[in-house]
Amino acid sequence: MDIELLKTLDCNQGAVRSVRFNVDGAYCLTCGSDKKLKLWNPYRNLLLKTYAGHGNEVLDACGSCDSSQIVSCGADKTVIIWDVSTGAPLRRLRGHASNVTCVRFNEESSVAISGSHDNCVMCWDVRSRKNEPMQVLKEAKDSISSIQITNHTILTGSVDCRIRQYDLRTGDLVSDFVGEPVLSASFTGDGQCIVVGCGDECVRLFDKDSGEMLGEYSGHRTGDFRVESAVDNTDAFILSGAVDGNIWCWDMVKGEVASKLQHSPGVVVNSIHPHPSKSALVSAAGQNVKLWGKPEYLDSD
Amino acid sequence: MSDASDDEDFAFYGTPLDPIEEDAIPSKKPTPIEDQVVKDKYGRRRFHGAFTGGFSAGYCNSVGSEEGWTPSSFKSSRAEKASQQFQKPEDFMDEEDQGEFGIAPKVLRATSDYNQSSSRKRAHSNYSTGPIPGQPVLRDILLPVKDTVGVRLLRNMGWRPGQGVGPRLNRRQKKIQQKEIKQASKKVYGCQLPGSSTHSGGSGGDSSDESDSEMQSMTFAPDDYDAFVVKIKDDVFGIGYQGLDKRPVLSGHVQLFEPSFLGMQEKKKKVAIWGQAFGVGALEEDDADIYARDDMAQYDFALDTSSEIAQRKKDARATEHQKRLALGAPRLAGAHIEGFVLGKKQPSSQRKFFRPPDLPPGFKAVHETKQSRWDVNSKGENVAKKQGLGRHDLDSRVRASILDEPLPKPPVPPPTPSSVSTAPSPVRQVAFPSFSAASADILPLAVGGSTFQPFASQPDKQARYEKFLEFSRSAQKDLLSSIQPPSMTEWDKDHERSEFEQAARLYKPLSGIMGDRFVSATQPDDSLNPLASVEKMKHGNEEMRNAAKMKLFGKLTRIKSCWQPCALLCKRFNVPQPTGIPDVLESNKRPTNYSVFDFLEASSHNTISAPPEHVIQEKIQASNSSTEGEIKEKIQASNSATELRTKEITPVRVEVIQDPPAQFPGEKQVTEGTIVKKLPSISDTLARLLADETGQIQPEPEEKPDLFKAIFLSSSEDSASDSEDENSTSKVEGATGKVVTEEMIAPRNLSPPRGIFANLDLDALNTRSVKKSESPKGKGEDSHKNEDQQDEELLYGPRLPSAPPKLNIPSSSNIVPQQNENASASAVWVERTVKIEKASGHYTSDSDDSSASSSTEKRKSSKKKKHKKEKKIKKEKKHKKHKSKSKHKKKS
Repeated sequence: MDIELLKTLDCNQGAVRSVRFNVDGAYCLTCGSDKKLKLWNPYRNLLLKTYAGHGNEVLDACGSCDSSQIVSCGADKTVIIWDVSTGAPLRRLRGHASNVTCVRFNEESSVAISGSHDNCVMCWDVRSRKNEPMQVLKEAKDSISSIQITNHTILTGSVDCRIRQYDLRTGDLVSDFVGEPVLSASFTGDGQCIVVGCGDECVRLFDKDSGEMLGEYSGHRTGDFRVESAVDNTDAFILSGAVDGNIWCWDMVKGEVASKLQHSPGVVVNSIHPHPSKSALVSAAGQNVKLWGKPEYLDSD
Repeated sequence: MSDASDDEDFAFYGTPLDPIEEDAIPSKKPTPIEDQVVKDKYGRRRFHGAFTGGFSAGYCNSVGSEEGWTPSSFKSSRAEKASQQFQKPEDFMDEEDQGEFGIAPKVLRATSDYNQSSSRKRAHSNYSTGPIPGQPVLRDILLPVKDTVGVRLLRNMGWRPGQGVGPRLNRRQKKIQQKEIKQASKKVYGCQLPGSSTHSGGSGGDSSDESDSEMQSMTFAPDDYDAFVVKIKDDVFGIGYQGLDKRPVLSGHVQLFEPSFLGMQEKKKKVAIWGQAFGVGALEEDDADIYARDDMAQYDFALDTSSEIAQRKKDARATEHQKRLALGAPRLAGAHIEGFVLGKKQPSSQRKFFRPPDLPPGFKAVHETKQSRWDVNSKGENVAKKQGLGRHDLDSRVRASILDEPLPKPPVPPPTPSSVSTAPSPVRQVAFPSFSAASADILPLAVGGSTFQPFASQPDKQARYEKFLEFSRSAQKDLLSSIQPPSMTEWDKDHERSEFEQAARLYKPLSGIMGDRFVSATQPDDSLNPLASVEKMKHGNEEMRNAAKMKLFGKLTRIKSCWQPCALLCKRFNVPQPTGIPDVLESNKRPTNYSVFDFLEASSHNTISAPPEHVIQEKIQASNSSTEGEIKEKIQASNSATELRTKEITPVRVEVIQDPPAQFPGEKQVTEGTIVKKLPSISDTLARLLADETGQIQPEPEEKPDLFKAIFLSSSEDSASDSEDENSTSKVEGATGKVVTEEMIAPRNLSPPRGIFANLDLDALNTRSVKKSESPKGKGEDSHKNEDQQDEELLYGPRLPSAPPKLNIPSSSNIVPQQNENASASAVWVERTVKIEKASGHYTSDSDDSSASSSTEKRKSSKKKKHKKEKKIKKEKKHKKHKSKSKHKKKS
């Protein structure tokens, strides 16, 4: 994986719990432990806006498809929908009984789906002004660690060692037992596979339809941390954070370690997010966020 | 007497009221207080704000200008020097304030404060420098009597108090005056006697004139007039009579010259009784002076005579004196200090002590509240404790036994986690069967265990209760009446029995009632050691864990289940809501979701007598042009081949018609299983026949049914499960079988295909169906419900005008064949439907399936209950469907 460090953002907001690109990868969001959410242009190391209003650490965020809204969630058990330009919280959704660990918009950004430590996944209607979730998915037996939404499937990873695919069109719920607590789960770019970061310091690749395991990627240490794993935009590499401060890249097909991007030695890289279209990456460790990619991205942007 | 003279006699005070005109109706209501406004002399409103009680000095009030007090500008020029202006308080006052009732009235009136020194100056306060500094205290207290100015003037002119005012008189003049006064003061009631008022004193005066002629020169001050004091009569006594009046001795002015009062002592207060109490009795002679005032002191109010009283007083005095002498022994009597008098009162040094009262014989020193007779526990014991079911007496061990907890062991070395985790389980295993077995009926508490004693306050009752428990255990509850004492009435016995039953139900061990509500901890709660290692929760079952360990992910680790996304969520995701089990619930929630088109078409349907048949008919017509038509043609081709086929099919059709509204989910029962099982057999045979006919099985009908379902069926569920059922049972799925089953359910769809489907070119769709069957979205296609509401929800853009086919079929009997056959075959069908009744018997004999032997009636009833079951099976079928699909592919 031939990407190099482009920029380092000192977010100055405590530990960065997660870092996310927006829908086109032009900006990124950082969720700080100082209850703030920040919007950056990572290519220019430019802080665009700070969103304050969470009552506790911000744990996850997601930008809407038109980049007009941000949904964020935090340890204050709320999900907040922000107006990007004004920075005002549009809606504050209270319903979870514990930390809300992950939140995503659907493709149209008409639904925000959040997962929490209270084992619930809640579907919030962004369009209406109702304060109750549209639907609560209570199948999980333990905390929800990650959510991903495709056009008609909700993928949740849970600490009860299962990934669940809720298919809205067929009404099927496919739950795959992974054997280890799921730290993160995400579809590959082609939507045929699921990359699952497991609690036993291993990243596994599952076939979406059959549930069979296609690959295992290990070697990194995750310790007791919730480190995220992902797949890059070309579906060629599996990425994962690690305790040793490196971002590990595996070749998806061969299963070998392709490269290690040294973020900051000794600091846990807990959050990574690949660029949606380019082979770029943002990663967060401690209070720093780093942008990786090819140098020409800087010029073009 | 004229009115005018009357008027002249009256004196008027105040302002007269406005005369009330005769016509004027007085307003019913007086003006309420809140509407009454205080106005001044000029009719201006003076009080404003604060509930009109506040005084504001603003505009048109005490300040006469809009600006309020306008400050006077200072002007001074050489010509006109500014004069120094002094402001007086009056400058800030209104004229009313200086009026008669104002705060500073400017009227002449006598003042009371012409002080005697007549000096207007303020008295210089010369404070004393004596032992008490400041103003002399007595100055304010001892004020001199103030004489009015007039009195002082009179005094200065030589007047003395007690004298009358006027020129001095000689003796003779004075006598005359005295007489006049006497006459004037004499009350005369009635008419005055003639001549009595004339000068009568002339003769008397003349006689004395000579004798004291030398005193002519002496002049006397005239007598004082008694001011005529009008005393208001406030009692109902006769004139001049004063009743007994009791008041304190020192209350009023002591009139020395009035008859004395009667001093009495009442309630340690000296009271005096004035007035006349005793009139004259009828028998008494002396009635001359009825109004004489008696000296009350002349009356005796005691029985002893005055001499006795005197004697007693003397004795008392003597003894007192002796006592005093004895007390003041060292001193001689009268040897006390000069200026002091011996006190007459004896110092009351001795306190009186009273004997305690004698206690009544049955007296208890403790207060006992009176118990009501309804109170059962009238023993004065701790009732609460008794009614607390003895739980206050329980110790931890007993409680543990009640709760089925493992008994706390006597101190043992801290157990290892493994031993602890296993230790409680045997106990639980032992305990659980015990109560689960007993929980079938009333579960009594432990017999020997006197832990629960609901009737502890009544030992015999408690004993009976325990007996009752034993009886109930041995199912001999009736024996209770045998042990109940004969003194109890029948009602009491019944009551007690019900009490016992209640108690037995309530007081069974806790585990009995709530055992199922709690999950016992799998790990020991080591609250003392927070750092104790907690076992990690294990997810999944053993099989799954093993599979995951062996990396055999896939079928072993995958669980598929149903999930019902809510309608709104689907809407937001822009996907149609999948059909599922909760669909029924959904329809229950919104039973009617009418669209305008329902009504539009309903109106057109109204012209036709039988809408369901119409629907069927319409569908058939629609399908005639579609792929089904092809199938039908195939069937037609094979029609001549066998009689059996038609015989098989027809009964089913008959069913459909005879039992059209099989759409109420509540009516579905289990019996439908028969029809479900039977259908495969039909389709089986059909398929076989078809296969024989055509020599091959086309792969493409595989997907077609779905399409048909999506278009035509009210619930694709039913047909899907139908077809899947066929799939599961039959090795080969025939398209015709599909058609048959479809038609069975057809009458449920109460509306014709419409919207986009009305003009849908199904042929075109049919050609694409092969491709679709291979696409992974096949399932989604399946979920394409053809429910009307759903359709409408999913439709976007304007609806194409629907052109329902002409329907002129009046009766239902003719429809049946038409629905099944295309136009060419209709004649044949009519003939056969006539044979329906007969054919049914034939059908049963022909069918090889054992389940098919059930009668048509049975099937009829079972038909209604179809949906439910089908839905149940649906899930399983899906997999099988896939399998069969693949099989088809292989074969093709």
